[in-house]
Amino acid sequence: MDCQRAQDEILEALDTPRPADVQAAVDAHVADCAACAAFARKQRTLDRQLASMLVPPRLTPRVRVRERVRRERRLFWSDLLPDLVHFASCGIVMVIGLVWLPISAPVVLSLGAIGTVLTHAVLTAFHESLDAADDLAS
Amino acid sequence: MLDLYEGKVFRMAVAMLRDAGRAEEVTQDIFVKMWRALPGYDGRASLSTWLYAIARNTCLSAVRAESYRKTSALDDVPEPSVASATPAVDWERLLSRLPDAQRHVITLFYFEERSITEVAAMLGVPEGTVKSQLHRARRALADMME
Repeated sequence: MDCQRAQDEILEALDTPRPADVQAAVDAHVADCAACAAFARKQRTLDRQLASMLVPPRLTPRVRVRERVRRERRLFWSDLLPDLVHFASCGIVMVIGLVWLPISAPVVLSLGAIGTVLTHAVLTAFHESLDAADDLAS
Repeated sequence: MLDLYEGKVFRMAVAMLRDAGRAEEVTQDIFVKMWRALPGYDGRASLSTWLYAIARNTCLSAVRAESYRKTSALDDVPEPSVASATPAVDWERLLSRLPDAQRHVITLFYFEERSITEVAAMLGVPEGTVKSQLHRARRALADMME
């Protein structure tokens, strides 16, 4: 075993235990090679020092991450709520129309769909203009 | 999801940003981004791979923003602490002299209790790459200490 291979195996052994025959070959080489023995000592010391220095940090205020995600979730639903209410209302109006209006069902459904899309477009435009006004104000 | 990955994502942010306080803020941003992107998650990659990709990109953006801020401010701020609980000695300086990829790998390797598999998953690189970066970093650090 040459020095390059021995040093590679010494580094490898710090992460993963080597097979017994490989480890024995490395040990035999290190016993005869002062440079590789010094390399092995230095790497083991370095490994211990790094392990004591690079301790896993702890996330102290764990609750803050949860709180941010929770707030985000609330914002998501509060953004979605007007659309949900709008579509639900349109659906109810269409059902009432189907039951009470003396018009054929396809006509009621078509008019309902057109009305839903148009009112949704108007509501979206209205919300966007409010957001734009907020951005300008801030 | 939070219970499983909160700590890992935070450690990844500390390894990449080298500032525990900033890493906490970035960790929050990562989970908020994840929550926003969740409807678009198509399941092609595992959830952890997907989350780690978001985390890496967010950390890299934060690193870029931070280096831009330092450059434009022209202030001589000392390097932030890697592990605030430990005395800095010269480790800070030694680690800062490593290339980013090697520094991320060696820091995460010890943070993740020597798991090459976990570090590879977090950084989105093959395990062989993690090992070779780790070995290069160890050789470089040993040389620097002479």
